[in-house]
Amino acid sequence: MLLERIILKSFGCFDRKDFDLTEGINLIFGPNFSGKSTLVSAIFFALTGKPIIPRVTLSAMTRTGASSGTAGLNFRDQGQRYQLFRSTSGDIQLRLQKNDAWSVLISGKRSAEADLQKIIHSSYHQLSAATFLREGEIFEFLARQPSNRRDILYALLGIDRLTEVRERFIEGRRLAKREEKRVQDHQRSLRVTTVKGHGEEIKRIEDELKALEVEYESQSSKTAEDGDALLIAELSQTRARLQQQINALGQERTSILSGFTNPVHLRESIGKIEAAISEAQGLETEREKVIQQVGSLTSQIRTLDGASEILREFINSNQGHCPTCHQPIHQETIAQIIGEKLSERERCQRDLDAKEAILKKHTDDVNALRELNQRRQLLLNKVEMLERVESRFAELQREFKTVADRLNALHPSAPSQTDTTAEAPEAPPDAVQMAESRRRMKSKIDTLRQRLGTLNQEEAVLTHKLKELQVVQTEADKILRTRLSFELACAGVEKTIETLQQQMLQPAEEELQRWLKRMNLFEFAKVDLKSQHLLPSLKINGVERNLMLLSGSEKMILYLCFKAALSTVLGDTGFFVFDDPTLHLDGERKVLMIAFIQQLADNNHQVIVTSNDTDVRDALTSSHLIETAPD
Amino acid sequence: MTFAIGNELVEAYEREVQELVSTERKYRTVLGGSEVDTVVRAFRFTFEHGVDKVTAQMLYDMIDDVSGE
Repeated sequence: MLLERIILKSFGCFDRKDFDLTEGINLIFGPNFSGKSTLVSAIFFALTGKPIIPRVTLSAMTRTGASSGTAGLNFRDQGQRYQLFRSTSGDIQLRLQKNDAWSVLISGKRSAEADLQKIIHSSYHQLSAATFLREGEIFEFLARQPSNRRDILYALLGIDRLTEVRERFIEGRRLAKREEKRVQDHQRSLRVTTVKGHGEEIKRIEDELKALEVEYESQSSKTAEDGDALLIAELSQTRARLQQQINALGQERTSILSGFTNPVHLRESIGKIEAAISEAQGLETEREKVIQQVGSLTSQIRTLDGASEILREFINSNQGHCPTCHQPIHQETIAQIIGEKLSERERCQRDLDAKEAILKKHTDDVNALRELNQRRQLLLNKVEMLERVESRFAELQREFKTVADRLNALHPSAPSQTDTTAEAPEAPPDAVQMAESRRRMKSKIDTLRQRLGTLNQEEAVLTHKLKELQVVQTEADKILRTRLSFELACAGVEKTIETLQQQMLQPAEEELQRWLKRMNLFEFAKVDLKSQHLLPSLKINGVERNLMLLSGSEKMILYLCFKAALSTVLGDTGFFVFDDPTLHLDGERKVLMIAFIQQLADNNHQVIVTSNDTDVRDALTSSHLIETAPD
Repeated sequence: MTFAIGNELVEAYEREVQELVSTERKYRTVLGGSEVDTVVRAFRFTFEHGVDKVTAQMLYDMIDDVSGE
């Protein structure tokens, strides 16, 4: 690509100005604040749509007072002539010259950016890293964090999207790991609760049970063959048992009826007691009345005694008048009153004696009544117990009769089989033994069946769990494959990034080495761009010296060589734009820098350089000189 | 110029994945051809459609479906 003209309108310090450019070296020369850097900025903005200095807004590039500024570029590429205009308000227009007329190829806002990039074959990152040098850039580059340089490298390689893809894969791997943990927890819980299988024990019990059942069946058949002998024995045993129970109940009944000839006698006694209790109704009330009367008479006697005593003391004191009303009193009258009191007391005493005799009788009667009530309750309890015993007795007798009837039917010759007092017939000893054996066998069969049931139940649970475990195992295998797939996906992206870096940085290192050799700089140094993500590092005689450790002038020249190398590797744009590359260089280094610029031009590059240094102007006599001054 | 774009990048990725499978035992013993193909397919899918449109869950479903086969 060859830049032919810069066209500015309300851009930077320029109102409206065009600057022609030529092949080879173009020196933009002028004093400070004359707009040299504005031209560099205009070229960069026209090509990328972004300010060359990060964090500078587009409106800041517009000339003061104007609503929008425009930077235009005429350039030639692959035999075609183009005109590119870009305004700070975001409009783009790319024109192609055909038959001396301009036809619009792209027009619009920033959405046209992708189409434009296809035509100029360069991205923002490539132009920024390899083609342009802006003022102070080198120090910013050195100050960048390694991760930031790595991001620039990825953007240059076009693999910044790869890192985004890797992030998605990492998220997917996180999902897989979470799922894997869930499955493993489930698996662990199943393993913990799994117990040893019962298969062997079930088989053993089934065999034992089968053998027992066969034997039991065999004995049953034998019993049938033996006819009723065994049944008679069993019935006889039942009869004997019932007989024992009946006898025990008879004893209990006798004990309950102790003191009575029969239940009727017992009930008659209760009737008599109840009649007596009924007659004695009101006795308690009567006794209470007598108690009150006794109390009253006792109190009366005590009062009379008290009064007589006071009167006697009064006579003995011989005072002659009443101490209360002070009236004269006759001794005879007081003696008469005492006599009356004594007479009254005797009468009360007689009444009291009579009442106490009555009270004693009533108390005896009440005590007797209480005893009667207790006796009645006792007898009623006996009646209740007797009824229970008789009911059970009748029940047992019925049962006994049934058994006895069956025995009679089986063994008619046996006398008085229905008589509960009769002795039970003797069962044949063999039959009894066999019955006992069968009973034991049946009991064992029942126990084994019960155990078998429990084991089968546990086995069913176990089988279910094993099936579940199998399902979970399948799930675990699946999630392992998923997780490993994600790991592979992530590792694949990382390896791809690594390989792409290798593919780009290896030739970039070789190219930089060539440039250093051309410039007679660090001739025997080995260049490394990989270890510190694009930061050039030199190994000189086994000692590593990276860009940061070099002198200012060495830094600048190495940095520009690095740009030239990058440009070659990333795809040569055909031009370089360096803003004041000789700043702060001494005379010797300026010469070296001019030689470097000259080398670039000799290699068919268009080089646009700004400077206010007359040494540079004087050295670049063959260059196209553009002198700047602000409008 | 970008160094690797579109198909070239996917092909480069596939080569790396195949190499990883052949050199690393854990991938070789567990993953089959269909899983490896799906990994490459997932990469292409994400790269082509962009991470804004492709979620991790979509990738998970894509890979998990094949792992279960």
